[in-house]
Amino acid sequence: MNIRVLQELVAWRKERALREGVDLFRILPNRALEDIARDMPHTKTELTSIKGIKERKYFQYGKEILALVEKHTQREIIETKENISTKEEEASVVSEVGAFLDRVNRALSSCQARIRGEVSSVQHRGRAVYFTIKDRKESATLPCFMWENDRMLSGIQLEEGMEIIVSGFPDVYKPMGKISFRSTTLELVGEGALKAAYEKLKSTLEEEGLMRDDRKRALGDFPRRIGIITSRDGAVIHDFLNNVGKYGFQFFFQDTRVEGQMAVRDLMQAVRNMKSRDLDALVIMRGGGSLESLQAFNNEALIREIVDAPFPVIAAIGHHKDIPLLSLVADITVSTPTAGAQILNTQWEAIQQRLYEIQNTFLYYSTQQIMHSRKKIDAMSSQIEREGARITERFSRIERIFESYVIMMRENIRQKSLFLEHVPEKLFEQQQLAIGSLKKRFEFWQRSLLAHDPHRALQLGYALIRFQGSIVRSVQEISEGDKLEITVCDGIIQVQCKAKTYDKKE
Amino acid sequence: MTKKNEDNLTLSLQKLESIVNWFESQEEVDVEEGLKKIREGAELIQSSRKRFKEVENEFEEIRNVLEKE
Repeated sequence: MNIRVLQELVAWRKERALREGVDLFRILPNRALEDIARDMPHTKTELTSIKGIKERKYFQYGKEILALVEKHTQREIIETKENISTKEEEASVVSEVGAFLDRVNRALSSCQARIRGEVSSVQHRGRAVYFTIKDRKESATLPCFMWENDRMLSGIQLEEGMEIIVSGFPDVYKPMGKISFRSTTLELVGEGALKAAYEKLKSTLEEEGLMRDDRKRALGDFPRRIGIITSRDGAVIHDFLNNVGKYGFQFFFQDTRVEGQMAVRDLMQAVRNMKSRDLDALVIMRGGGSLESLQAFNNEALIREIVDAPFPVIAAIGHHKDIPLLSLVADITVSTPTAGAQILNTQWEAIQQRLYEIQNTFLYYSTQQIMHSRKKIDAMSSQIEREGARITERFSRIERIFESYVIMMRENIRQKSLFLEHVPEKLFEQQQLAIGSLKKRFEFWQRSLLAHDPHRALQLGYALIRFQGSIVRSVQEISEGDKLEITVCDGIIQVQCKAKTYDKKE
Repeated sequence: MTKKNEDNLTLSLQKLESIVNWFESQEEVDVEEGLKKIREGAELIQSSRKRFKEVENEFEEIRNVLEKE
């Protein structure tokens, strides 16, 4: 078996499958590739005799497979017959038309090219598109052929007057003997054209409701199985991995081109691969770029591929001005890989946060329980204290009153005793005083008595005249003939009034 | 590792939330009952925390390979 041929066939099949957007075995099964590498067929008969390759497959891939095998055969011939010029040999050999054109086509298939031109005519015929591009300056036209499938992948609706770049190789269509350019990809030229195509697709998708929020899927709880589609090169994947938390994520990464026409095929195949896995989310990432460099993410076929994914799609695609349409349709849209990583972290961080909160709540309740009991005890003890204080207070009040009474009484006693102490002294003083004054009075009285003693007067010669026992002081008190008593100092003289005379003064 | 871990986490969280709700709904928390719940919750928190102890991420690259028919 020719291993190099098998390797090339595998690579060719991969490219083919990507381009057509189908699984590998739909192109050709492994067994058929191995048979080709073993048998090294050179003709249609030889090739169709291999199991799995019938008319239809031959029509689709026959030429490419034969060219691939032929290339190796030729290389081997060159290697083994180094001294022989194959070209000269071939030139001298007479060929049939078909065989010659096969040879031409084999040679032409290596003329891979990217050609710029203006679309001058377009014809859709079933699964193929025939169109012509012309040079903008000189008079030159190139008929082109393209599979409808390839055109759809390119995401470009061909219109006359449109300026495009076609990629592919020239090929002679044997029945007509006419050359045509077998295009594999199409690109729009110019910012204006790109912008117009962008706006057109945008409004289509919008009308279909694909950008509506209610269509979009939310990230489920605790995402763990995550698909990643981006380029292995560049900072994007590193930024993402550096910022995603260590929460036990399972990442399924597929390296894809993220720019240029082949990117669409890569991305589509990758999305399909991801769809076959049980993922919680798919992250599609790319660093920032211009509208032109982000064309792959404005591709209709790719966008439709993610719309019906069974998991939410996170788009983390940087952009200058126009948001890539894929980002608008994606379930969650961010513009950096870091933000994409954070989206995945969010729930894990939130649950960690919630756990902290719950822990604090528990702490709060358990302390509260203790505090509550303590407060109760405190309240009770202070109540007891208060009651106790009330009793002691009453007691001390009584005590104070009692004390004040004692003091009062003591003072009273003191005063009384003080008084009593001085009483005899006073009494004596007063007595003395009284006696003194009495004595003086007596003396006075004595003197008075002495002075007024009638006896003394009588001795001096004064006499007392009484009439009928009473002292006579006036003439008028007696009449003539009245018998009067005259008392002198040594007795009484009885007399009778003979006449009375009044004092002349009166 | 399987989804089981996450299910446990969800379940633990649900239980924890219900304990929190219980506490919040009680006018007067019964001390014995409360402490029992807190002990139960503490265990759940501890086991949930384990899930966050630096679980390394796994990384697998997918290729469109021959074997993948």
